[in-house]
Amino acid sequence: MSVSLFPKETLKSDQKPLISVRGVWKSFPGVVALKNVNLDIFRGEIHAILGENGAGKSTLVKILYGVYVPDSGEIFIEGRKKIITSPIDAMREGIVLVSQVPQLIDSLTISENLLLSLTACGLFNRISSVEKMLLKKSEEYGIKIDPNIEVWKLSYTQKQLVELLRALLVGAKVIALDEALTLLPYAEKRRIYEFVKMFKERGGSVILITHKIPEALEMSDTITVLRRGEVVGTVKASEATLDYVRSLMFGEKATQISYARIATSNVREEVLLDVNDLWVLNDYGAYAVRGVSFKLRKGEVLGIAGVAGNGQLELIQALVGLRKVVRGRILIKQNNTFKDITNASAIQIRRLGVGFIPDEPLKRGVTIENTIVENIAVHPAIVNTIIKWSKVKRIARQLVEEFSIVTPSLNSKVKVLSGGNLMKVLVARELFVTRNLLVAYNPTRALDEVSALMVRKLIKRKAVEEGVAAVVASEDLDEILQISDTVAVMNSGSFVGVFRGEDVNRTVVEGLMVR
Amino acid sequence: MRLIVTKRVKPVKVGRVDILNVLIPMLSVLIGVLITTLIFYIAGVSPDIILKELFLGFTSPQMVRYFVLLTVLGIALALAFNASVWNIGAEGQMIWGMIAAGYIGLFIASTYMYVSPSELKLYENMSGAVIIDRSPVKPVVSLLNMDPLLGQLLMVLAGVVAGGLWALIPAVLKAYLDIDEVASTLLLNYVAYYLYNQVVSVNLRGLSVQARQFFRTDILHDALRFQSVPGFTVTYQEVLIALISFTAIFLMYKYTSIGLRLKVLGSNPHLLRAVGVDERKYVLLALFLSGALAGAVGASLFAGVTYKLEKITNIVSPPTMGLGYTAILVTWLSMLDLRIIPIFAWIVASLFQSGMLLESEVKSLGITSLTGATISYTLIGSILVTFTIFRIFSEYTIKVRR
Amino acid sequence: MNQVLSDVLEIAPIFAYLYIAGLGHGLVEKSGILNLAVDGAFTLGVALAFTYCTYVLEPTAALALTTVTIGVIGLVIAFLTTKLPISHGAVGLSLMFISYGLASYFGYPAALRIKKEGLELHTYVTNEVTSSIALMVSLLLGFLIYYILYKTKLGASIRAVGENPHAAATLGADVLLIRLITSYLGYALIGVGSALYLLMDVKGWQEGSGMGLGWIAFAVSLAAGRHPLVTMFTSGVFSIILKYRYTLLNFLGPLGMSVFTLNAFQYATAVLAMIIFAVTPLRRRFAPPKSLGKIYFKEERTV
Repeated sequence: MSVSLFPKETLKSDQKPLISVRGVWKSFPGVVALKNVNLDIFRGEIHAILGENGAGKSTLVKILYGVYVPDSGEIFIEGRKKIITSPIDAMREGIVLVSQVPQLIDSLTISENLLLSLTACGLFNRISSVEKMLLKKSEEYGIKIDPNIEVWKLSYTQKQLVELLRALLVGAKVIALDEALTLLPYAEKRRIYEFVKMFKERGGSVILITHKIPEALEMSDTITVLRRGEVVGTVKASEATLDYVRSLMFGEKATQISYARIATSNVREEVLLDVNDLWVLNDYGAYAVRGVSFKLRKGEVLGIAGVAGNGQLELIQALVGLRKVVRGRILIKQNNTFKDITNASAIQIRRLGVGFIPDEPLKRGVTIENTIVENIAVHPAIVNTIIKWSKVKRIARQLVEEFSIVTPSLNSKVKVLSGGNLMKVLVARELFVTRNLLVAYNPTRALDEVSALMVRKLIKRKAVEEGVAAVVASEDLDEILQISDTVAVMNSGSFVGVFRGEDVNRTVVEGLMVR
Repeated sequence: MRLIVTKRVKPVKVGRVDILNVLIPMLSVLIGVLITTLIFYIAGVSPDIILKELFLGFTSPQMVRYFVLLTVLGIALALAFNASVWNIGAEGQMIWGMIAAGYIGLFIASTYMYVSPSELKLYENMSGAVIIDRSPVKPVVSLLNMDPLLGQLLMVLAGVVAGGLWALIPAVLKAYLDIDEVASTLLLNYVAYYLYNQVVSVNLRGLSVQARQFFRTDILHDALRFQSVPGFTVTYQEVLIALISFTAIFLMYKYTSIGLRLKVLGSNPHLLRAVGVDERKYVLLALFLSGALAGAVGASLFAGVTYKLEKITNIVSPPTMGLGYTAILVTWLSMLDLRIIPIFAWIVASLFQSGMLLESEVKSLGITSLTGATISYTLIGSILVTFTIFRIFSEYTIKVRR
Repeated sequence: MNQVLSDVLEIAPIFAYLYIAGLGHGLVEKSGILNLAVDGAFTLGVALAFTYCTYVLEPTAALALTTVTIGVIGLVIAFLTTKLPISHGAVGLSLMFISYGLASYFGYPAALRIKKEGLELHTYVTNEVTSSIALMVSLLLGFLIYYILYKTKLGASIRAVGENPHAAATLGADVLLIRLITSYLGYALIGVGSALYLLMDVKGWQEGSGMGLGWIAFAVSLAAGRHPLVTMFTSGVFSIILKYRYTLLNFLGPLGMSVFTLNAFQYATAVLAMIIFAVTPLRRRFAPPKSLGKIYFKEERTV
């Protein structure tokens, strides 16, 4: 159900669009990512594209930048039809994409990276010959860089600045920011907002991809909302309200969606998990977790809030034995005695009835080339050396029903499932094997809000009814506030604040997250 | 004009069969054969000779032996490939299988000794004794030390262990040091070839005149040799090895978590680790089993046909006959499906046999410019390259945009 | 001093073909293409140089023709592995087999012709002058490749494409073009190496000539972490082993080494180099390009 057919006459009738997308379709295995999408981007506007995870926002800008090629549909640049099949084509049309994950070559220097984008330079141009030009351009916009430093030495913010500098260097008319600011600390995000506005004032256009309504409202002139690959409406930011945009984003389900706390709670006295002064390294050999301690009681849900990259991932991985603990202890209660599981292998830890919902579900959660049944049988807690397939099938059938997983059959390969159903297979299996402790990272990513709410309720039920303890780290603060009995805020590797779930203050938490 | 490759949303199915998985390997074989025919045609061999020999290859009784050996090797490679462990080292693993079986057969299950020429008569009628060398100066006699069946079993077991252990080297490197196994297994083939030369011309070198002359071991005691099925070159023991390995591996995949995990290792090793399975052990297992079966084939090459180990003089023709590479074809064309392996083992074995028939036919016609190596390498290469390219169509579509 | 110089010139032809082939192989792999066709290409190159030499009767022309022809294999590999989501290993192995086959296919008739017509093969005369030239040329090529790789945009593009072709494409590099250029250059160098092996070292052909030497070039390059200047050093070591293996055995023989184990050792060295780069701090400097051998396909699905 489309709220408004693209009303471009009423929006900007005085001007021709810089970019027009007409009737674009794009499918991936298991999902139709874009359905007949139309979009107009005008000169000198900041155009937000808003939608849930998996709504197709990224796919759309990746098509504009030539990373994906649409199955059908057309793209017009200044009224002329163009076929864009590579970033080189896109850059020639003045379109530059900045992604959430910086697309730079780590082992190369800044100037080498930027040189790749300068199509005017011949292949045998000396690297050193472009350094002056880079310095000049960067000073113009007030960005300080050392062109000879290798990219891997830069901070995340610096890398994103290099990406923006690249856009300026190639003379971009349109910069697409694909969640490029989402992970930035608050103050630095502000700095880049200024930068974006400066670009706009000089006549540039910006496509801002985000799933955060306030960000879209604050930054943009126009907002287009995508839902499940369809454009459901385009509105002027100045005329839109948060509630209206939300109803566009979630449709008729908006009413079913609630961020209210799931109040039921049954936290017992008995401590299950005792983590003491934990120190863990990240992949680059720096301390990601710096002296975290907490005690988790049976039936308790501990939510770990924080901006991504503050050590939550490493903490979670250390808890399930996937990352080495340098210092500190992890104790878990087993038959009334505490057992030391510091640096125990994942095998030993999982044998204690520990469920794990990992980051990167496609990598650590499921195997898409195998069937649903096999994805369940792969768990050592479910099968012995000789597999009883009838038993596994029974479990699979039960889980598919309980989680309303949409699949052609139990023997379908997981790769034919949609992202949401795929995630449900993973969550269902892990909740099934959880006897003692559930460790989760972004447990509802890729789920639509209704399914996400269902999963949160199931986690909560597991805690309340079976006395399972849960550690849930999530980049989604709403999720944390909704299910936690205890909220811990993680920043730069430490817990900077711990609150009881019922009297946590959102503003305080946000403040601590970006402190 | 631009080629755009996109992932296929749905497999192309006729009924329940993914039709491309059937068509692609078949077409690859056909096109590979056509390419080879064309190359030979240019060299002056008329296509009807080639086609005649091809036909003969498919029905030749000698083909059956290659069919059986390639089935075992196909399973060996499928074990590794299904786990995404690209074992290109079956050649080396077979070599070690040969060496180990040779050691058992020549030194444990039997003993060689010089006897004085005058004693020779004594041994002629002695049970368990075989005269290896009737040289008037230093005759050599081989004495059986154990029951021949036990000896044969030990040879195969030794081959299995040696092949498996040799495969464990790249396995450990891959599992614990993340070293690419394609390169390491390939390079280790050459290491194995040269170490084999060292072993057969120094350590295991025989006593007989021929062995002293030609850098080789003595010949295997008659009783320890595998017995061929009447009318064929294939031996009972080889058929038995093939049947046992096929059944065992099939059951392992179907009913055990070990089999499932080996498969999942191929599609997503990180998942194994996350659910609490040490994926590195499965890398070791995949390569060990793979090498073990290749080692068994190596043992049968020794006990079933050569009966001796001889120094490799030209690296083009190792005693493994390049079967370790040929088997890559079998496994890939079968799309790693165990049940399909015998079919392609038959097709590839026939082509292999045809290549040899063609070589002698071509020689008798006086076209001496074509050697066995030319024929078999060209055939393997052209089928493989066609298949490699075609295979992407089972998962991708290619569109042309203007 | 003179003794040292003449020793150097003695190994110069071997050094030249190993170093140049190793340079070529390293260049191809720098762009992220897992180069398993190297031995096939080398073997075919030897046979082609021989065939060309038999028909054109002029070593330099044979050298040039071999270089140009072997380069084409590079184009095929680069196109297939970059344009299609295809396994580098499978492509490399297939082309290796075809190349082995074609080597005999071309080499045999030429060998027969020489025998039948009693022709004399016109190879280079290996003396102090030609050896010095070979040495100088190979060193110059090494510095040239170093310059291209580390000082030019092409070099930055090659390294970028090898590290992360997706990011390189996003930045605006034409991955296909870069790989075609690199791979052609790399294979042309492998062609030069194989031709020099025939024209300056063995000067004759039989089936299997050059087979296995491609892997030595592979080892030479790998042991040097694919760095063009470090490859000079490893090529030097390997060429000494190849040239003086029997002299070396005088020392190594008592230690249990034989010509066979020495041969095996050369291939094992490549494996050892991989181990050393995996476990020691050298890893950082000499690690293989991050995307070496990875399928380049941009439509990855994520959740």
